[in-house]
Amino acid sequence: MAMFAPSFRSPLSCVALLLFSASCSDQAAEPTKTEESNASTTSAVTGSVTADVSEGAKIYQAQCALCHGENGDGKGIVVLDRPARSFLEGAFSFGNTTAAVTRTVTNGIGGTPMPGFASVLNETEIIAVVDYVISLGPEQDIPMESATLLQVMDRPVVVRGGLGPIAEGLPTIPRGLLLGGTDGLTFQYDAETVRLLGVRQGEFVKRKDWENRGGDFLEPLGTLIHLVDGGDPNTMWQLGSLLGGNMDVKLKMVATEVSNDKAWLEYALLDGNGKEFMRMRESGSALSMGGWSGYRRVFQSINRPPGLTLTFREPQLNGRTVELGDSGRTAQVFEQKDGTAFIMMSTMDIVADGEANATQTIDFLFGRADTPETLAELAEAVQ
Amino acid sequence: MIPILLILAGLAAPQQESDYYTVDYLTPPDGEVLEVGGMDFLSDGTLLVSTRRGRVWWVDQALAEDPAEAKFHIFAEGLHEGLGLKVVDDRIYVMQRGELSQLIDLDGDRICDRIEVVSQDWGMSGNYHEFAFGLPQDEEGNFYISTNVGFWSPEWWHGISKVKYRGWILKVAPDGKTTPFASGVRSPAGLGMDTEGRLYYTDNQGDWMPSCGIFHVQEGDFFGHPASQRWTRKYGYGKRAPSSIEPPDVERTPPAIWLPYEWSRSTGNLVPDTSGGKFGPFQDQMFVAELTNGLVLRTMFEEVQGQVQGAAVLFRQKVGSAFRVQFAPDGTLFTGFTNRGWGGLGPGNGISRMRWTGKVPMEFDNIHLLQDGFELSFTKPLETVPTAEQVSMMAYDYNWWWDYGSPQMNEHQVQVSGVEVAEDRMSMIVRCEDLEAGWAVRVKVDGAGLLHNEFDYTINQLPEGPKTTKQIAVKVEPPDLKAAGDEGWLTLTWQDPFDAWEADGWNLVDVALDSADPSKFVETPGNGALVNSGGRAADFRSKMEFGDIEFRFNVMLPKGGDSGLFFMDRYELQLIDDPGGCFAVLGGKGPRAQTYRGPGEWHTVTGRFFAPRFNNNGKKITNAKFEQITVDGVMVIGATEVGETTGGAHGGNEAATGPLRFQGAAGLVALGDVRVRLIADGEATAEGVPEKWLPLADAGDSVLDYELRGRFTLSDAGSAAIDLRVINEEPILSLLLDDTGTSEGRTGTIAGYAPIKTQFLQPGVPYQLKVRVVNLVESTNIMVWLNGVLVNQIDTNGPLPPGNVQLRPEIAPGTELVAEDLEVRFLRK
Repeated sequence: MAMFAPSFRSPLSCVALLLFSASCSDQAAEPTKTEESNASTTSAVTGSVTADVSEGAKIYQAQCALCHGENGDGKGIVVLDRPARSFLEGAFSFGNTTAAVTRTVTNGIGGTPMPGFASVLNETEIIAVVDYVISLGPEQDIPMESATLLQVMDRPVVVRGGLGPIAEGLPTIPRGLLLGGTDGLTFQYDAETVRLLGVRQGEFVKRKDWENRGGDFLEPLGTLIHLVDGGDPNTMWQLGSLLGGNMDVKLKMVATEVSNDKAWLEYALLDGNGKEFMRMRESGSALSMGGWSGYRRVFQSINRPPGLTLTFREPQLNGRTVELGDSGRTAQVFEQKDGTAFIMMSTMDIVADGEANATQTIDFLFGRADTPETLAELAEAVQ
Repeated sequence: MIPILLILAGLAAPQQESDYYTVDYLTPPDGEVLEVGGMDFLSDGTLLVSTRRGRVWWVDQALAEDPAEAKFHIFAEGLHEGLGLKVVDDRIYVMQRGELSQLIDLDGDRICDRIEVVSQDWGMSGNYHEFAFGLPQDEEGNFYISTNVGFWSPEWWHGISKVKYRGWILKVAPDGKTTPFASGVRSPAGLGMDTEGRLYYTDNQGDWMPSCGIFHVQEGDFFGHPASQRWTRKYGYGKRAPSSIEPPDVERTPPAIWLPYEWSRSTGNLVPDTSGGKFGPFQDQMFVAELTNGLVLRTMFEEVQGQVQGAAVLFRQKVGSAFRVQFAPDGTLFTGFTNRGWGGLGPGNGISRMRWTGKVPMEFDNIHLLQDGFELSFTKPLETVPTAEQVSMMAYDYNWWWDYGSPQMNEHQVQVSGVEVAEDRMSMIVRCEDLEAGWAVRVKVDGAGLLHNEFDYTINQLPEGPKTTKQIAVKVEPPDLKAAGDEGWLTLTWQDPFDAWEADGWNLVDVALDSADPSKFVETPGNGALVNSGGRAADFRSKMEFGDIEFRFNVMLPKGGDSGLFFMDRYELQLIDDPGGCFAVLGGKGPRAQTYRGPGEWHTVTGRFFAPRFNNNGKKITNAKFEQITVDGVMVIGATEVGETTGGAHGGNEAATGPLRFQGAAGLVALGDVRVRLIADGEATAEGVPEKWLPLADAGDSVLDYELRGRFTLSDAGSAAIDLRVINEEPILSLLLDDTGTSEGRTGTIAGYAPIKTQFLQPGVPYQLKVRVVNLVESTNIMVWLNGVLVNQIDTNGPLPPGNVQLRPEIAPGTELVAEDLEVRFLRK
């Protein structure tokens, strides 16, 4: 606290006087002669001292300057087995982020003359000196929060990056994939195993790896509207087997593409020996039908071998098949604990190329399935 | 007019780099930050730039005369970094963190539509430091990529390879098949290929990497970092992790060039001059990006005994945080910048263009190693011829260990015996004596008018004779593990440095030599040093007494400074401003290496002292002894005995214990951080015949005279207590275990009595504690030992009745107290 002249004992009285005269601010700002001057700023109103940088500077001079030099140029009076780091270019052994420098100041650098200060400085002191040494270096181009925001405008966007767990208890996804459509939906995949983990709706993503030293996980912004099979689904496709039962098909990512106003994920399907036997492209988009809303996934086969039985794996939930009125269509209805249900409906369209390049759609819709009326609306819409 | 111009030309200003190579900067679009990770050109001269922000920028007119004419647009977005870019027949490949991809524009609108996976075949754990780099390609179409190891808290200086093939260089065939190619890399931030098709990579200083280096890569090579070996057969192809601390027992390929740390601290990629002469006289030589110092280096490689090695020189400085370099079709050297997260000379992002002005600089053109020297060729005839005295050569090597880098070690001058300049003055041979392989040499050539007059040559092998097995990065004993070294030490001058000492006339200040009078100090407020600058200063003498100890302290002397450290008040380790006499044991040996660096220099001194031994009749049977006295890590005295006590000794006859005493009246001295660790267990004998030790739980609830001991670890800013006497559930006598510094006193204090103000112990480090509580006639006497040293002894006012003993492990919230092997023994119940 700056020392006031004796007649101004409390900040309150100083404020009162401030209303009537300018002299209070003059006196509040001027320390008495007995106090050491330092580089801190003194508030004219409360007289409190913002001491952060100056506190850091004091600690620096006491603890660091011997090796790192009074002005941070690495030329301290202590001679070490190698030059102490200069802070003037902002270069540090393990990066110049606050976290990295804090770690170095706390723990030291193993084996080198740089000691840890955990037992000498408390947390506040460490923060102060870390801010100070970083401030000795040049201004940095740290992206603003807003700059890291990536939005989908008039063209779908595909983003690769690390992703955190999509639900609690699940692993992180170091090779993640986000397909963002112009309709506000984001399809979130694990690129290594080529699995759709979840579908989001809303804003797209924050590129958190533009901060710090890079490598941080992305922050998808949309609300999760569907967590596919709890966020840890099995592989998507199964082959029908002559022996009965189904064999999981391993998938390998081939490409991502933006075309026809859609974002596509293309992948290879591998047989038991790891050899590719066909490819698939898929894309997702928003869908609403008869009071139900959700998303549609389109799957395009590429060079599908004739006679192959390939089935899409159903969710691991109890479902029932319902006929949708007179439409001739059926749907699988899966009840969820909260009374909502989701419905899977699939179609198979044969395109001109023949079965080798067939297109199949699977619709996922969410709504209430507990009353017959709501299903009837859907049946209407499907016709 | 003309004669005057000629005279003026003769008085030309000293040459500078910009006379020969100009640098200008492209202007990215407003507000856009290009953190360059890769650069290459399409056949029509379009520049493509990949960045750390996962973008690929398409730059038209990057070669226009006016750099502001370059036009940028985003070609691709949403990549996962992009620390390498290569154009092959106008096909665009980018090295992402997790994927080597081809970027395809399907409809020709110069926006990427399709990103195809070439390979994803290496592990990623999600650690932020797991970068991947690229992207040279050989004649068969194989790409070469490299992967960084990961770093985790708390021991973040150890690189770890948690998932497949981190710490490796991988080869990616045209069909995407990815195979391991070489291993032992740490932070392989740059790759490059010379005009002969040799592959190189650069690594960055850190654990197992004493300095930055440029490595020639051949299949099967191992470059030193052990983490990568996890994915070899020896470790079960990933089942087990190699040690981070033990040197790996694998044949190690040295780098072609060790880069001097002052020249390069964060090396990027390297690229050969393929400009066909448009970039000056250095055709085929390689140029290296340096991020921290913001410059470009030049290298001259040669093959010696089948191994690539060579020299590095500075080339062009003050460019910007150079991470990537790439030649344009017109011979311009483009430099791409980034320094986010690491810091470096600005600009920290963007692109610059370096062009040759057409003027040939006076430089080393090439450097060849001879059996007994170097053959240096120059870009132009020498105008002035240097003499042998103007050539200096210093050899050095490095420590190869898990320590973060290594200083240059074992520096020694190599004697230059003569120079022979060729008649056309385009070359010169420097002959020297005792040139050895297994050393790097820094050579400086004055008197030749060179723009850059120093080169650093990595002598892995000499041209002839049997090959040496000495590596320049020498395997050395690992440095002490940080944690293991700390247990058992008492810090005697932390917090209140005077509490444990008699210190008349000593002050706690910051000191530096007075530049006007180096026999004096300039003192400023601070807590860096204890100085005997008060008038009539007495000795700095510990209140405690010690027997056999390890000791450690820091000392600095002014000009003419004179002091000494007396052990047990009698045996002196001399501290004096005299290179020959400083650190000598008086009455014993002098230092065998000169480690005293002069006035104003701080030195750290460690060693062991053993007290003399006496038999039951009091006759001395063993002399006092010093062992392993080291100064700044260099051992100066292996072992020495001291027979008689020496001048300045106090304390009368020799005895088994004594204080530490720094002489204060002979001359000025500055001290710091005095620490001791008992060598023998300081188990003081108890009165009477003690019963044996019991676990504390069995102590019962009526205790009078007893000893209690245990091994405690107290967390940072923790606070706990041992209630030595509890009556009716009220503690009436408590021993404080305190790291807060804000309560009554530090660990060892008996609450309510004279506090201990010295912080003897480091939080988080286990220590031995013993306390003895004994009723005397008029009082209860309590003695407290920490790590075997008696630190407190008090008497209460009147003896205390019997009661309980209990542990109070958490006084400050969040305190973690580990109490192990708690035992009690009764002296009287």
